[in-house]
Amino acid sequence: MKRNRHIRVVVTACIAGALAMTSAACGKSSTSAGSDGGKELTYWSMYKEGEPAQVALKASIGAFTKQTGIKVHVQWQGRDVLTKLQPTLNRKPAADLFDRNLAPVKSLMVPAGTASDLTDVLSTQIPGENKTIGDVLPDSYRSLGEVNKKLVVLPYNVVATGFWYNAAKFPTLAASPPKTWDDLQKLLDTQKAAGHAPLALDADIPDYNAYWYTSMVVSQLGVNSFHKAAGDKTGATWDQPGYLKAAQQIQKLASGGYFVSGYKASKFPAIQQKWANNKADFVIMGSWLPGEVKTYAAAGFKYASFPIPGNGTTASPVPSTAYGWVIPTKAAHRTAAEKLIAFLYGKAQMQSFADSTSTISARSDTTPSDAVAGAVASMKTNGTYQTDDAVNQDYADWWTKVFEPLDDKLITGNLTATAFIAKLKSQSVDYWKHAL
Amino acid sequence: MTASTVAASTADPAVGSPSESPAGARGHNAAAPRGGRDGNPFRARQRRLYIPFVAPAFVLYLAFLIVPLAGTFWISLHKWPGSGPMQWEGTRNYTYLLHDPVFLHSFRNTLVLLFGAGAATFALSFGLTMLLRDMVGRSTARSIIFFPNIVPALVLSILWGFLFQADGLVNKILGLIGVHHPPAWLAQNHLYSMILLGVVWTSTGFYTTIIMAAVDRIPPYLYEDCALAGANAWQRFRHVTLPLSWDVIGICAVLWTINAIKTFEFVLAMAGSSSGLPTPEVWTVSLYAYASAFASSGVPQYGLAAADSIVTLVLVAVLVFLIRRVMRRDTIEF
Repeated sequence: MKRNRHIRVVVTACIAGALAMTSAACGKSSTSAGSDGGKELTYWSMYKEGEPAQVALKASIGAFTKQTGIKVHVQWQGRDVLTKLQPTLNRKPAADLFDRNLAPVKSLMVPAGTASDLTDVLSTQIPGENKTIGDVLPDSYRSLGEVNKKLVVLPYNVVATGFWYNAAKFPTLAASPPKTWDDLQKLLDTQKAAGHAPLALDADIPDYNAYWYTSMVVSQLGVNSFHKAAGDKTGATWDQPGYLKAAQQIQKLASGGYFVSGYKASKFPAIQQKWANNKADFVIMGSWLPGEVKTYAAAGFKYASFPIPGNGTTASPVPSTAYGWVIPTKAAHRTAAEKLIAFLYGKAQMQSFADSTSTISARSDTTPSDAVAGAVASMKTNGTYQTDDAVNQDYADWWTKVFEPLDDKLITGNLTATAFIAKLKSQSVDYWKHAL
Repeated sequence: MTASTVAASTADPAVGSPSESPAGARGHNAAAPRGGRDGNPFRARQRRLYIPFVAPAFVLYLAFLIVPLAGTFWISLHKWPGSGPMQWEGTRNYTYLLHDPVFLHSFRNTLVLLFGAGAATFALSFGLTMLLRDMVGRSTARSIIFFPNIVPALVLSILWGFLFQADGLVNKILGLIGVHHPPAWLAQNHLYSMILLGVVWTSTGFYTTIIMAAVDRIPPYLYEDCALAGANAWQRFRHVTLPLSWDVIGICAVLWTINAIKTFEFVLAMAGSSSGLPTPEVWTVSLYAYASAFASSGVPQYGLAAADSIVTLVLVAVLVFLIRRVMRRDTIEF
């Protein structure tokens, strides 16, 4: 009996101890935001050490501290920066500033109200220049960082999606790119007849497969058409002919042997490597492509792109994604963070970043590299819209569970266009009926 | 005389079965006079030390297993994006799982992995064990077979992917021997089979090593008796190897069940990419939980991920219980 009593006492003490430890851990986070002395800040970056973007940013941050005396505590977190930061956002954010694209910010921060509206930062003057950030940030780029007219991501870098090719092989294409899908189809047929593989696609990546159908729908039916169908709980929108037509175009490419051999049974970046070595002519991809393939591309490869062809009546806008600055609403050092943003928006800093990463700067008066000059021109003339018509942001679960598996089958020739639309409709109705 | 009777007859009846021994030992302890009463100072001290020795482990177990488990169950009853307030959902996450074709497909994939790949792994492990038992240089062979288990599954899965892709080494070798139209190994309709094959390949060495260690304990004279009795390879396996390594096989079955249901990184690395998750066609229940909580876009569904984890835990518990029941035998001493 005495032994049992001892055990009971110890067990009770242990449970009490464990609960106390747990509750202490839960209640430990400080709710005080701290004072904004403007002398330091913590910045968490989406880049990792050694990446060209990290090297460029590190140099710019060093220059900022030297010029302003504001100390920047940097952590190079990588692409899952927001996943790591998220648990701290409701109390005292672990970072005063971080960078990311809109999709995760919109999903994780906007519903919880933890992302600051940075619209007022646009009126901040850039140090050493007689311009504000808003003066040099085009509307077509700014809108890529907005949710309900609130600027939650202040873009510094833009990714444009389009058809990429080797301009050394197609010297006249820059001046006269295909305007419609029929024009493109003719070009593909010519290449195929000449014994070339016209298209490249690493079909093991569902997001790459999705570029094709989403951009074809938008080029047929306009911006927001794919978004509208995705969110239609009745599924009736999928019955409109444009959706089937886009699927039929994909089916024709998949069954017609337009994609380079092995595209549906390889592991990324095998097919991209084939494209970079002139074994396939065109690939739909984001404007990071030249920087990504340069280590293994064929000698003399001249990167160029043209926008996704339109429907013949209007030019199709360019699917685009903005990467930029985000300040959590409870950031302790917001003033210092804004100063850093303004400094990094300086022309020299933005040009340096664009040059070292071969990407598109959000600042309109920087000079793009030759590789992305065509993409910049396309965005300027055709305008922009959110990549994948923002469906992967707003209906991410549907995108992953319903759309992408069917789209993968369509583009690899395992599903006909008619079956694709029928399944997309029925599965969407079922999905929305049970959605959480 | 059959081999099994050889085994039974050579077991020492004086020792009795180990399954009886612990019970016997417990019975002996229960029957023994208590320390305080028998005046044995050693037993009294032993009892006093019981609580101080057990308590730290119990506290850690409570704090790092029981409390988080209770927390996971609590989260599974809510809608929660990982921060901010939780919204009570009751059992809705669980009913959603029952209606979600992706979860049901992931569950089916997990069961195929558990039973299909499990059967293949154990069949191969037994086969290799029997082959290696009498082989010259078997410790070298055993090390080679065990090697895939040392290399991280992440590295192996990436390698596996590159071996089997359209222009990979496997197809190149097949081309050299005249197979010019090999199957599209990594195509979506074959991808999960290739993952299963990869899991079997990485796991076989581990289970072969454990089973071989058990088989090595079997006295050689039993096999000599079998030879004298004219037993063939299957009879030797059926009547000597299997019964005398049964307890180890039971442990292996439990380990396999737990590992198979938790299979995650091999699928993610082989079928996924740096930019996203693999297609749901190849998800397992573990990958489903990960995708629910850590997808690159979309509102994280920690409640759903927690519900999936609880379902997985129940599945493991039920299967382990059943395995223990089905495989319970009186162990033969030798």
